[in-house]
Amino acid sequence: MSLVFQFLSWERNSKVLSIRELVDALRPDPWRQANPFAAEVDDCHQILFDPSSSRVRQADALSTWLNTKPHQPCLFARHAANKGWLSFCIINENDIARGDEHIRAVIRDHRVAWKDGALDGGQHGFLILMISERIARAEPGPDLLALAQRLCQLYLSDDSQDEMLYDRLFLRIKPRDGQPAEIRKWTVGVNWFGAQADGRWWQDHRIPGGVGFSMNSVGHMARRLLEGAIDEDPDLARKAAATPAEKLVKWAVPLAMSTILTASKGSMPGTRLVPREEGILPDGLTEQRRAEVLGRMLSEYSENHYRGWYHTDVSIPSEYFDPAPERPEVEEKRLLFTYLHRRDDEDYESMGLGETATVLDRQDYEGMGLSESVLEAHGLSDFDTPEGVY
Amino acid sequence: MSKKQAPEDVVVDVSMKPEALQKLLEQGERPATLHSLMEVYQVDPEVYLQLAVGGAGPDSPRWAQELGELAARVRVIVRRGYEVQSNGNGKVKVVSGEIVEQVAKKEAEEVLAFLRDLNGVTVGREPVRDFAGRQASEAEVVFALGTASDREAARRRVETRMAADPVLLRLSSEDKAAVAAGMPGYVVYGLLYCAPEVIRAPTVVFEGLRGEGRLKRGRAYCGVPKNAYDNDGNPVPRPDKMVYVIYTDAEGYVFDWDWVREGEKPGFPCGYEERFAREVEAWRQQDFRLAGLDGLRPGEFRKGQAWFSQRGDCVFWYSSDSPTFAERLNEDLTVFRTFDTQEVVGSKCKNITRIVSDLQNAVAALLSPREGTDVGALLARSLIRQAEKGALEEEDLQVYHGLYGRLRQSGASADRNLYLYLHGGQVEPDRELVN
Repeated sequence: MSLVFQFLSWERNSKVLSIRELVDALRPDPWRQANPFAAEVDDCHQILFDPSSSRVRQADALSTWLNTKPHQPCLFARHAANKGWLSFCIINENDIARGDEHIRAVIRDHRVAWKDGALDGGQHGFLILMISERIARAEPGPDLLALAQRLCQLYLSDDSQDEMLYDRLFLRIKPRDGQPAEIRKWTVGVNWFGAQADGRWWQDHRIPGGVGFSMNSVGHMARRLLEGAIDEDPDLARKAAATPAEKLVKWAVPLAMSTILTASKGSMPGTRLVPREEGILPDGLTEQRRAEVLGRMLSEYSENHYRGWYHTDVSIPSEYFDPAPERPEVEEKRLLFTYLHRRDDEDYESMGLGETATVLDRQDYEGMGLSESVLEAHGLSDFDTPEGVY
Repeated sequence: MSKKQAPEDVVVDVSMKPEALQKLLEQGERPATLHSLMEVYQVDPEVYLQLAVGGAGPDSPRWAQELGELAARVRVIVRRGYEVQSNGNGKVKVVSGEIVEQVAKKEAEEVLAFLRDLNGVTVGREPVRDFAGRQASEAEVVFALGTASDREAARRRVETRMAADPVLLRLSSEDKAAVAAGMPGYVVYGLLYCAPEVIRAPTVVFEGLRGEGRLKRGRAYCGVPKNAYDNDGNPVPRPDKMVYVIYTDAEGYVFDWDWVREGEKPGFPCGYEERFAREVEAWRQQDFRLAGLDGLRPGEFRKGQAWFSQRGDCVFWYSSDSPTFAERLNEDLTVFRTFDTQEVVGSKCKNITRIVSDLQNAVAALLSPREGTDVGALLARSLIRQAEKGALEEEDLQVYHGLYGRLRQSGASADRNLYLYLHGGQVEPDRELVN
């Protein structure tokens, strides 16, 4: 079933309902009553819904949950949580009761603090979450969709539904080797997450405690990792100086593929990898080299596109607000990995081993939950640690 | 867009570079309109950004200065956040706090795209591919995040907010038992529904309920809940010009909750200046939660019963279950008046410890666990105390007289807790009443 909901727009003179009014209108989810939350979600709820929990304690619980395999499939988010690079804006029932202008001001402060932290590389991802048992147990539907749009309006001054919304993040790059300092900026994807997803077909967008938006930018994260590594390795700094910026971050392709692979292993996946197209390789790339870069597990799949029953970049997809737990019968979409690289990119080196393999250490990769085959492809399978050999 | 003075919160710390100013001047004189700003932005976004954060400077032509003021104003709109509404007359309103700007409907899409871009927001149907990132400027960062001091202030507010432990309010087990043991239904439902709502979002919080004793640091949480509730727990329209007040002791134990008349300040109870010692300044940075109400439901109304709250050092009594508001008569007595007829149908006798210590010898004979404490005796002593202080007026005497008459009619006596308290025993939930 495909749902099409009307949303508030300036062309209509509708009364804008507040977050509080929208929360009051939510109804308990009958499906949830028969299908309890997964144990790991319930465990997190013990802290999130404890009236004595501070927001720091709630954020720690969420961070731990995000960083625990296999609670959610996004390896970028897992890594960011592992590194403490996630910034949380927790909106609780006190905030909801204090009104939309209060919530708008709170989000504004957190957004500035997040971007300020990201400017110097200390922060990366951002989660705006409304934590409330009532919201977590609410039925997906038009009221919850209106709540999503209202929260988005308070965050970005825009409430577009079924569109791809992006925020913007900056990173200050230090001067080195005669290159001047610069500030770079990236768009940051905005994605809806909710406790409603737990057990439903869009499970890869579940989050304990309520609902909200998650923001992350692979490009910003990759460049921040590179800059951190360069600070510690003068040789790498020289290599990086001779390498075009767009090639410094290609390690993210296998990571993105691994995320989709993990997400596809549920009983009702929303996305899946597709077998690779035969015989198509950019000039100069051999099958052997490609297999080395992607690893055994990923090399049988396409690094150019994947398929999904929703577009992973859409911020507030209508499909998430259909109460049916099964996947809607819509045509599968063809989705691209090529935002991370060009199909005709002649240089797969920087995607795998190349310059950026040395940017990350094994712990970084492990934190992202990469498979042994990907670790091998990155030359990290024999990595020695003080504790021993993997 | 109309020309107005730049708001005060625009902190300028990045002055416009001479090259950027030169580029602006080369674009030629133009009126301070949104359309002009959009033209400047389209030709060279960096010129616009520097103009918005730094201004054109006092030596530049007047039109450039005015354009800079408007650019700074747009920056405030973008940073604060805005709503877009149609006003039905061919105009679209951009509303940001108290700032309201109007643009023609035919220009709306273009204006919104401009504001979105300034806000760092991209909206579309195709994924954005900028994995390598793009170069940005200091002016763009300052435009988006504010100056270093703005950012530091935001960071500090976030840290304070994140680390703050919630203030947990609760009901003592003995008061919970008393509430369920015959208080009017609307009182119980007010606690269940109105009190949590007010506590989550008070209009004001006061401290210092009494001049001495353990309530010296007690608090009053005031607010305006969405509804009132009847004796069956149904929502009914909230009374006009009333605020709901929840009283706690210094340890956060709730002992009383009432509708009271609103004063001149919206959301503030009347007479708050004389009733409370001070307003709690930092309450906006705190979260308040009311816990421990699970399973609480009203019992059958008992009009011959009065309830002692040790936490509140007071005795409650109702001769009727008609919904009431509270009216403070003096420091010893608050009366409950019905909303419709304003008739006094109950009371809260306060400062029980003080009153009883005055009466200790005389009252001993009245305090029997079997017969209950004579609330009339407490009321009488309260009257004497106020008379001795010269604080009684004719109207007050009439209230005391009427209340005493109702007490005698109903034969109200206090629960066993008051007896235990006066005899140095441990106050506990009254099992007889609960059962």
